Amino acid sequence: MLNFIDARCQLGRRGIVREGEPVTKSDILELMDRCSIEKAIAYHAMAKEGDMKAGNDLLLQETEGDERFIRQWCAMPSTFGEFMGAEELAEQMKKHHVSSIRLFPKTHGYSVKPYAMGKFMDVMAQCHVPVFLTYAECGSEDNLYSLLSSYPEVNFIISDASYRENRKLFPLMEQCKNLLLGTGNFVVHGGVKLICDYFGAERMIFDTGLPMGSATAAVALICYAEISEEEKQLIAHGNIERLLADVKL
Amino acid sequence: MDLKEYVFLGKELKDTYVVDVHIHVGGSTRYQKPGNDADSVVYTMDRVGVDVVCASCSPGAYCDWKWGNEMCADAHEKYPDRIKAYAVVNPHYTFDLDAYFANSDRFLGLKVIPFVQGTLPIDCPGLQPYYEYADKYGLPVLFHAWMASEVKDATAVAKRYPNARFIFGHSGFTAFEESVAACKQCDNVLLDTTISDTYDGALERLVNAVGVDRVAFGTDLTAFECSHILGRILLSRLSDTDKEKILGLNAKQFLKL
Repeated sequence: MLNFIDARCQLGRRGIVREGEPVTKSDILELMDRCSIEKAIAYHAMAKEGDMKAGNDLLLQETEGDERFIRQWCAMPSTFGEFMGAEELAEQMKKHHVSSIRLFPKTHGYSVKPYAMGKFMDVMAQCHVPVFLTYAECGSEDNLYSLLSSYPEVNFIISDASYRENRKLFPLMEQCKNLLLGTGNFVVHGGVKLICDYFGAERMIFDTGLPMGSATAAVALICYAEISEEEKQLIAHGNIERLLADVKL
Repeated sequence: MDLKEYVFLGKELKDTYVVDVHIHVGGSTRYQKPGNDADSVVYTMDRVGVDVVCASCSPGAYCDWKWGNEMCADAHEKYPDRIKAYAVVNPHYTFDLDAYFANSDRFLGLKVIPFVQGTLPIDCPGLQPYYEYADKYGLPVLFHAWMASEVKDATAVAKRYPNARFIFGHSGFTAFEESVAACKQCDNVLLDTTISDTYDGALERLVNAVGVDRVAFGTDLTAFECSHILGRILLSRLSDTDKEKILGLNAKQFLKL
């Protein structure tokens, strides 16, 4: 049976909760157990929606001693004193066992163009830190291409590409080998097999978007994909384990 | 074996009757739709264990309904026990539905999606003759019912034509309150599970509100995959008895398959 590592999970109180949606950490753990998800890479809702520094601190508190969650901080390029500089970020990540970062450029109001990302992304490249963001947060395919092609040493995990994006997404995947696709909402008919056939199973990372996304759907998408058991193992956990093992903070 | 175990094994469902009430054949100029022909549909059905699908033709909804309906009927004729066909109607044209339904089982029912035909409302005058026909012969009608306004219009139609049987596509997840109201007001309404993206717990919420007998498996295949929606049902907190009703038994009774 496949065991999964979820590469996209949010902890903490968010602003909007729909009726019946998982809310607490124990709600999320119940779903992880039900869906054979062993671990989840988690960031904090406060770091996305409220205060980045406070949210990253809350993440440390809420995951203290909990081996089911792999810590991820939200981050942004240094904005003249608002957020810590890249070297300090790397030091703090090492100190607190944080192994990846998540960006929300659209929500947080900054550009992903090289003139803005600058040294921040250079440090992430030096430390082999995987960088996560959603398709919609990039703003446009051209923005995404600019980011991916400017930092070819950085592995970017791009999630939440919808079933309507193939014509934009596939050329990006062909041109930018450092684009890894989060599988959560990629519900193209036979899409997982398509990516394996065109680009290889190494280019996909299992994620759910919990608690707003669906773990039950995300797991079935991989289990029912018409690909080999070895390819499923890579997508379910092998690829993300390889990336995290390569982090040099 | 528990139904959820099929997911983890990646095995097709066996000994469970599965009907997908909402799929599409045919391509799209708007985005890539891999595997949209009848052969690919049946291949996918076998891969996950779906017995019967009810299909309409996507291009026929957007433009040439005559071409689309013939394509869909051809899919049915190639796989008569696996693919059932909805005839797409378009309020801008006059249809001779006898040509589709009289003395023929080429079509199962009607697909109504005026949202892509000039954003006309579901209850527009141009569609009334087709509802009257469905009412006269007790035909099933599949609505694209995404927005609350569409669900309200669809509910008014379902009330006015009580002998027709209406499936509200998408609405249980996108217009929850209106869908619950429709089920309370109309015995001839079934909600389907078609949605690309929603949260865990949404299906249980819907079943709790309208009753398990009012929900049927629908996926939008080949507009997108079907396995993720199958997973939402099979890995939900519902009992296997309830899952079997949603997966096929409700549709079998409602569509008289």
